[in-house]
Amino acid sequence: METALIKQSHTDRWLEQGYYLALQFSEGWVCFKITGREPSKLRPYSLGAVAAGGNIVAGWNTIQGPNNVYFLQPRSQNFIYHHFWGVTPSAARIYTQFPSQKDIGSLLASTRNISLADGDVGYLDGNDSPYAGPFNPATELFCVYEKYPAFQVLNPTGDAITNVKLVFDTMKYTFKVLTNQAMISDLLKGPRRVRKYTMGPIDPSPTAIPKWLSDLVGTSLLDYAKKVMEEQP
Amino acid sequence: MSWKAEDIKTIYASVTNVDADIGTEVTRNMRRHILQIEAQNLFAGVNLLTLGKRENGAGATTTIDRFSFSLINDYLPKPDGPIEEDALPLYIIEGGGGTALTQSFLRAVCSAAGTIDLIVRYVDVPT
Repeated sequence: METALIKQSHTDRWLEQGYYLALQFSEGWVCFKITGREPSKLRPYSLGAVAAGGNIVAGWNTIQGPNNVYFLQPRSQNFIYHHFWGVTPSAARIYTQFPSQKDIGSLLASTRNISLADGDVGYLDGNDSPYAGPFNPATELFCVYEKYPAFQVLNPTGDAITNVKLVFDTMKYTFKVLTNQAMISDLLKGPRRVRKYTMGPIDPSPTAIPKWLSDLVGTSLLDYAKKVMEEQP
Repeated sequence: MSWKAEDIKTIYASVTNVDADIGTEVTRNMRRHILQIEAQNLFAGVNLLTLGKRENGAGATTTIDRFSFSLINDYLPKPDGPIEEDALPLYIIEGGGGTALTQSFLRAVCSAAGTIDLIVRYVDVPT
């Protein structure tokens, strides 16, 4: 049959050591320099059975492991996790909240009701991001400590799904937070290559910065980065 | 739209001389690709299997294929052998739109009073 039209491997989007990353929070941008990286994988992660036309009965799944550990959240403030994911079976529609409680990918302003009657909107399925990869760039997530995603499933078919499974391909990074204003300005205005990423939905605003990171960066630097972006012609 | 081996589903039905739904409903905005059928005549004599479909409503069944059997235990695989990875569907059942229940089904009936065992392999793909 036809093949999925993913023209670029998600692995091409990993950041190398020395690359720059800028994360947008509601308070402003935080710029990082990647200092080290290590690959990891979570495969499979079972979301369980889903009835025909139904969702995960237990609600949004935050991808927890033993002892309630959040697999997708960096294990400490010293790391950033960079995730991509795929899903099987292909028909399973995956809805994402990032961070949890914040719908992303929605065309609706309000929190989504996820059912067949609520429209074919705001999801990626296994045709978009196949379990065997490569994973869709739209699945990209950058997680810092205290920010992790949640997932819900809709089974759009008339047959029950025995087991919806996700696979996460992850790169763990160590980093340095950049504090030089001239460097931050260069990064955000464009002369330097940098990966820019918005944390959470843009409507009504990106997610709030975690307190630990805000304390690390300082509010004045956040304000400065925000002004740099907003005043860019 | 692509499909993979793990997406293929199998249904078994005992077809009688009363036209009936085969398997589950094709839900809204989905499409059922019928990839393979196997049928075996359990009636001791001539029998005719008629496959049909109803799309987006509980109206008349539209015939999509017919197979005749001469003897009991006559067996029909179509296609014979494993499903090819790039196989085109034998038939397509279109799910309706607009409501959660679309009343789109594969249908089957046999001519004799006896039954025909029917196995259908299919995949549901989004449109």
